[in-house]
Amino acid sequence: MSTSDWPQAEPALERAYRRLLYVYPHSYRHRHGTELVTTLLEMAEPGRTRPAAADVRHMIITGVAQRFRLPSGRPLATAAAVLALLGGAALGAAGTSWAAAQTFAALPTEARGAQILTLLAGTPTTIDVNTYYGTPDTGASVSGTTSVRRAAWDPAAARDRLTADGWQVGPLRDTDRLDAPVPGPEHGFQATRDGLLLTAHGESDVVTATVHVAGNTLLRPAVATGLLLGAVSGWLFAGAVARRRSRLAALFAAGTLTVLFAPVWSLSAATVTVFTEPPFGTGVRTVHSVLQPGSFWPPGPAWMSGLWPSTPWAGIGLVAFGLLLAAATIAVSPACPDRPAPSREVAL
Amino acid sequence: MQEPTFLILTALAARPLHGYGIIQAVQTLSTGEVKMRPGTLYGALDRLTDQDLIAVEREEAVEGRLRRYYRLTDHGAAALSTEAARLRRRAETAETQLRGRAIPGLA
Repeated sequence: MSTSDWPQAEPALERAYRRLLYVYPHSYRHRHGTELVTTLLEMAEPGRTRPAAADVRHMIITGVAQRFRLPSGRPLATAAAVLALLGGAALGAAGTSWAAAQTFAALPTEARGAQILTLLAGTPTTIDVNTYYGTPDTGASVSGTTSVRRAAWDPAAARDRLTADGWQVGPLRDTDRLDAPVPGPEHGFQATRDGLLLTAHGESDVVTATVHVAGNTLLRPAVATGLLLGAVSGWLFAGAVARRRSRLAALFAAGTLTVLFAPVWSLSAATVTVFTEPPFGTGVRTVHSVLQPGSFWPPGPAWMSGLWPSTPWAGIGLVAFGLLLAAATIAVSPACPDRPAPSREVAL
Repeated sequence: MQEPTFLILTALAARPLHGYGIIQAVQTLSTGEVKMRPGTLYGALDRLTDQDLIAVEREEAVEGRLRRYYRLTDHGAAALSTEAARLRRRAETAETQLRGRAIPGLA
């Protein structure tokens, strides 16, 4: 065969087509890159030096589509991709939840907590303030108790003092804390200032105050963005693994999904909470808080709680191990699986 | 079977073709109605290869250019034959229905 019937093209045009190939996944470029460029050159009209806009648009669209495409006729790959999408969404939500939390107000010191309690009580006696690290869904808090000197607590006056101090004070409510040891009318309210949430409660002369971090308006959009980015990343990861057609990679991928199941379960529940719980309750709800080291609840559904040693690091440990396995999944398999080699002729 | 798949298999029924050859054949077979672009074509060829409907026959390479010739497999030929028979039955049904159509004004 002669070279005369092979496409002759401007080197600049060929270079431009080869650059556009990078939109496609690595395995696709390896398998079809050269023949795709050959076909594009065969279709190009003589004298063209730059790709037509329609060709550029088409290559970008089909290249991105190839990255999302799963091999046909492999239901297990599809099922794994759906799980990877869910896992990626949960981990993405945790990541952006953590990033949003970096913009939250800091928990006040116990000294500042005592000042707030003094403001609340008016003329307090002994003040007892402590920091509590709380359960993952409530987070840390600074909480204290005092009693009013020789008088009953006046919630209306307390609200006026807080308002004068710059707090946005919510309505006064009759509370019904049956476990309170002191008989008498009970009142309480909530107030916010500088990203902090104060929950005040008084009964007779006893006043308690708890300050949580209230979060801010950045959290929900950040978590939504993390969900989306994570879901896309999870699907692309599953697609890349499926294209490798490697039994070893499939085993590692199965291990990744298994290890991540429990923390992803907990993260998913926390994500739902972020979008369904009212912003003011017992403090801000975040997604990543379920991974923070603590001994309150092990990760995963209740029936899994006995499967691993009770360690405060179980959640974050499983995520770290799962991500390590995900990286190994990519590392252990060739990016371009071998296909049966056809006979090749070299034109002269 | 979707129309582009049907046309690709039809294009390969007579002889193996390379990518540009398939694009030209599909355009001719569809009398210009279907114009495939390379990005779409190679995605479709991958899918058809995965489904064992086509296979790579041979490759020709020169100076960084590559033509890969695809052929219809036996499974692909059977699938195309089945689809052609199905389309023929549909067309016959349509023609039969048209012949029985009442002519306006004579009813």
